[in-house]
Amino acid sequence: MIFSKSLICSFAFFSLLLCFATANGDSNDVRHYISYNAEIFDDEKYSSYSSPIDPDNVFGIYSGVYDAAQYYLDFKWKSDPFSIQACDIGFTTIVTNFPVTNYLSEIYASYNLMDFYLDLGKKKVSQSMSFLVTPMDFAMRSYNDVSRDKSFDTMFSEGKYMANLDWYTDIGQFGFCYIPEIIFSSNLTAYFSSSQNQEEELRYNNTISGIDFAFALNYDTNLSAGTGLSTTIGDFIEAHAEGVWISSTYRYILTTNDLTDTYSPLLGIAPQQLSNIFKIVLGGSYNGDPISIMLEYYYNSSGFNYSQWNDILNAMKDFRSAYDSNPEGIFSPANLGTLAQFFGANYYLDYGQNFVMIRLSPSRTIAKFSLTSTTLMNLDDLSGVQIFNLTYCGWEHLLVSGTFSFDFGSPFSGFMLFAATTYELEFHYIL
Amino acid sequence: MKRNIIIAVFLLIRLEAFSLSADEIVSNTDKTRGVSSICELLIHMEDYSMGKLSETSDMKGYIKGSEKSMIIYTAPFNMKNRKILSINDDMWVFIPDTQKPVRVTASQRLLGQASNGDVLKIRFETDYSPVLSGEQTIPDIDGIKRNCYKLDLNAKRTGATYKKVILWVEKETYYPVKEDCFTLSGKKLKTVFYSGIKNFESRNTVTKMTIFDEVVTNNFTTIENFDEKSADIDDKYFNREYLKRM
Repeated sequence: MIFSKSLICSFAFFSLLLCFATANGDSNDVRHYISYNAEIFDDEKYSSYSSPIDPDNVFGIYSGVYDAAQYYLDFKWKSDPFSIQACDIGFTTIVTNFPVTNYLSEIYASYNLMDFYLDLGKKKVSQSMSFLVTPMDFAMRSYNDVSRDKSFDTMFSEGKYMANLDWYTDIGQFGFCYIPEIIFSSNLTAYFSSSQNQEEELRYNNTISGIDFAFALNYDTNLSAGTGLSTTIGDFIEAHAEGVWISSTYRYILTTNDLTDTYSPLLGIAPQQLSNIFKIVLGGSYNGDPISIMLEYYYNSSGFNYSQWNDILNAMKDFRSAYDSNPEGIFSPANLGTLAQFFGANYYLDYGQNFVMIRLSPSRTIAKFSLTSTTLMNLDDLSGVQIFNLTYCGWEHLLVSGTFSFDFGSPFSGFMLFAATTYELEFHYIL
Repeated sequence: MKRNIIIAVFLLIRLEAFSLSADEIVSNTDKTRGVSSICELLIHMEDYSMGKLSETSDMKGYIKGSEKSMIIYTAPFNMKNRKILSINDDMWVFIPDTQKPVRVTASQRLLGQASNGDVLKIRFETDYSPVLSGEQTIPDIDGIKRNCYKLDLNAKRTGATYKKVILWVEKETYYPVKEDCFTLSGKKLKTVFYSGIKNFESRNTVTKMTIFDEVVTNNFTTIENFDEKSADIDDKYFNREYLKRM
């Protein structure tokens, strides 16, 4: 019911905005699309719908078919010195009975005075130069639903309500944003946003002697600092590096009672102290002809070790068995994994993890057919995930994409997003 | 001994004269490309594979001076609003789904045989040191014989699209006629023919490039400019961090 209300509200709101834009402003550079995605998992494994390599992942257990119909409405109105930008995204399913969502990804107004730009509203700001993970995007970090404890990338990227000031100067671009603490009730979350902590962030960007330099300093419940560099080497090579330090903080975890009690296995919520976290990304790409090769190495000092990983997976299996024996209990396959995550949360995350990504893609920017191969690998035991994607965009407005992915090696890969043999077909109708 | 010194001085003066002359030719040629030093235009690209049209693309282009240029894709539909910015030796692509511009090189392929630099870097004078190597009569893209200056261009900046170029410029008009592009090792990469003289704002400009694959001659890509007009383009358009606000 909440979904249908928010959907109607959203459509009505954007119809008004689009009419207004058509009549009054330049809306040529906006995009709207609807898409349909169908996935088939050939066996029952544990999949994540959060960041593929984040140890704080929220797990789900899928099998069979999963499908999603999505719309994406982008809006931009500009009449100097004012502009308004918004993006609304909604999901529903046709074949399967899966929770439906609709949210405003961004909605903000901007005012320009000389070299200053002030943005007010829900907005995304990014500072990272990396491809696989973006550790320096502090203000883009999402929160776990239960506790507003920081998580990492989410599948559906969402901005935060903020006041953001950008200043463009001859010595670089300075940015500052203030994110107020807002706690939405679950009903309001469906209309407006997830709840958010108070944050302040300072950003700086410049290009000096052919090297792009980025810096970010973020404070919410603790301090985070990061810096990044990017440049080109010769005619065909791009190289980038990024380093992030996050000061000692705490997170909220669920404590357990009796695991065999499927109705009340949880005792409560407790804080857990974490050590300082370091993250490093080293990457580069070679743009040859006809293939481009991108390589990225990622180090995360706050991961699980092999035995902890296995314990989590075993806990998930136990919960699955509990569900099978008592399907009327409070657990569903989708949230069993969420629960298992909190067992993982009881571990102290201090194990350094090393990942590598190799991506092969066509070097030509514009091509009707494009075949991409992405390999994600955990260097601790060389386990990982292989993803092949074929895209065809030869028809007007219609983009068709097929993805085949499978895992190899142990479940320690950490790349749980595609940790099942998966066949996926996606249609995008872009207006 | 005295005679040798006189000959050497004479040769130096001659070489200097040749060098200046080559610079002037290239400078005049650059003036035939683009209606003014600050202008905006529409760009249409077509790629032909085995002689058949396979892909097309459309863009808006903005040029400011010899060192700043930017394109915004308007087609194909899946590339819409993607931007490429070139400032001096640096080049970035901005993809709307991402929030940050990403570094690219001038040599990176854009469509078919065309590289980023073929579209974004149109001034020879900025990127190359020219040497006049002679005069030659060559056929243009339509087979018409043209009396040309032949110039050897060597890249003088790291951001130049090609390391070596041989350029033929029509003697009477200074229109570029043909260009052979090479790697540093001397391997030939492409042949480019220039054509499509059009008048914008009472000025004749060369509007079309046809780029041939050196191996298969019926694989080629065309880049054609339309609606070139002088414009007052704000400097902020050429700020990489500003790309997401455009």
